[in-house]
Amino acid sequence: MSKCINIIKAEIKRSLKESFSYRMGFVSDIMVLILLYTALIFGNTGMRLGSYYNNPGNYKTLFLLGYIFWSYSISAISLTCNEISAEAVKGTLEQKFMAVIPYPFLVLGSVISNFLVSSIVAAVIIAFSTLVLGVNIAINGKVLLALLLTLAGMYGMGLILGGLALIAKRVNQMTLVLQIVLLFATDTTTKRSPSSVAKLIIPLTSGNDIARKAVSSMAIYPTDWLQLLLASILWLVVGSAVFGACSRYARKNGLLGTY
Amino acid sequence: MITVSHLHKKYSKGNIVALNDVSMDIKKGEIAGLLGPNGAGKTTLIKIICGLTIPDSGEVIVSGIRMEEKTRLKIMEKIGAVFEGNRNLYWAISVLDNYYFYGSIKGKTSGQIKKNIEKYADLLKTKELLSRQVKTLSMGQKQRVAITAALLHEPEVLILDEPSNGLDIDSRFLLVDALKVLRDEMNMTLLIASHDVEFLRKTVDRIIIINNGIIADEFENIDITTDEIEKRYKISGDLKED
Repeated sequence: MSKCINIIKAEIKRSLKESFSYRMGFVSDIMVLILLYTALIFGNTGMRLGSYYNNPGNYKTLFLLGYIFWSYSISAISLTCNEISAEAVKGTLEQKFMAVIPYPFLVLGSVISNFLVSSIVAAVIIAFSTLVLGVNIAINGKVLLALLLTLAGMYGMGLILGGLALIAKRVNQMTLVLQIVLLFATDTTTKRSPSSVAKLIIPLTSGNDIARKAVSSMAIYPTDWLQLLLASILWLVVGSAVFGACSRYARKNGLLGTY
Repeated sequence: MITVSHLHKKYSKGNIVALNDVSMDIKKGEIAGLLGPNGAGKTTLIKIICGLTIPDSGEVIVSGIRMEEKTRLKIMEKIGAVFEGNRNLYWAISVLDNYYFYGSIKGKTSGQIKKNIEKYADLLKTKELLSRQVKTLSMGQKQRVAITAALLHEPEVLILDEPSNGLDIDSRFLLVDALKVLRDEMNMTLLIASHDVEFLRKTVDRIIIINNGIIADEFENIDITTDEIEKRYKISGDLKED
């Protein structure tokens, strides 16, 4: 167990050092998210959120919350596949597969590192939103719990893309399309009526809903939490199974070292 | 130390038979060279031994452990490997950071890694490179750093794929000497895949010829001259004799 924790810690450290060594990429990611957020705010995106959550004066805050959840989520789903594609090119993927613990534990290290980096991005967006746009947000324990549960499920979704990346390597375009679809299909930008079952299968939808209820002082029912929990567990289980199958397929077909 | 029995591997893409009934045995403390032209099956064979590629049939035993899904991770503790090219390291971080990362993922503690950096960085002359980012290193330096990283968990078996590619003469001779020290002083077993006849002639105890996915021949290094190898197997290398 301690060996496993040491290895995860080593991966977090390596991944953080690598992320911060590409400063320009990091800064440009933040810039893109801020520009997109500003454009959406000035387009009065999310007005309907205010009426749905009985909080019309704070619709921008409700939108910001969804936007933060979405930015964490896209980072989570793109992490695994981008990392695998990049490591295959760098030639370090095979070395990681030769670690003394299963590769998904190393992915967990990257996931934690990614969460820390995403938190910096979120902090910058919140600061920009508060100071420049006058839209602020009060994050409480329920919001954080909803975020963590959402991310667990979204990482599961990322494992599926990661598995595909092991075989096809270049699935970045698919990830990009999925990120945009998620922006509009998970009640991130607006909400008129209770979400459909199809939407609720995506953890981000339930996560957004719970977080917005939490900041609007609305009742959050145990069934809301249960929906989020089940959706996240489902994606984690399916994601792990698909990743395992793809990893075996890649080893069977000698694809680990190709890019 | 490494026993390979009746390995078969066919890639469905392109319908290529990479290995056809390959068997070999490498003794503890031996340096074995796997010699063959590009596409002979060398890389497939070493990736199967490293557990990165699953064979269609056949058996691999490393340090007395049969390679299976449930034993693969145990075998990973015993093997260090450096694959072809300079693609084994993280270029954006320092050599030292790479060392700590690679030592850690092989299950070593920081203290053990620090001790082994002293030992192996000295052997491969990478001590003065510790603070440098990998991307600033020459090809020869990267290769030495990658081999040092593969040694930090003190593996019983070191596997190298085309280690002499792109190295200048000085780096090659330094590498030859270091590999012999690993065998002579640390009783390590080495398997080196290469198409560089001269490099293998200078380094290994035994040469195994692989071509078209089969073991075509094998002999003690002293039994044959470079010219004979080049003529008989139509493989050439570019490291000049002293």
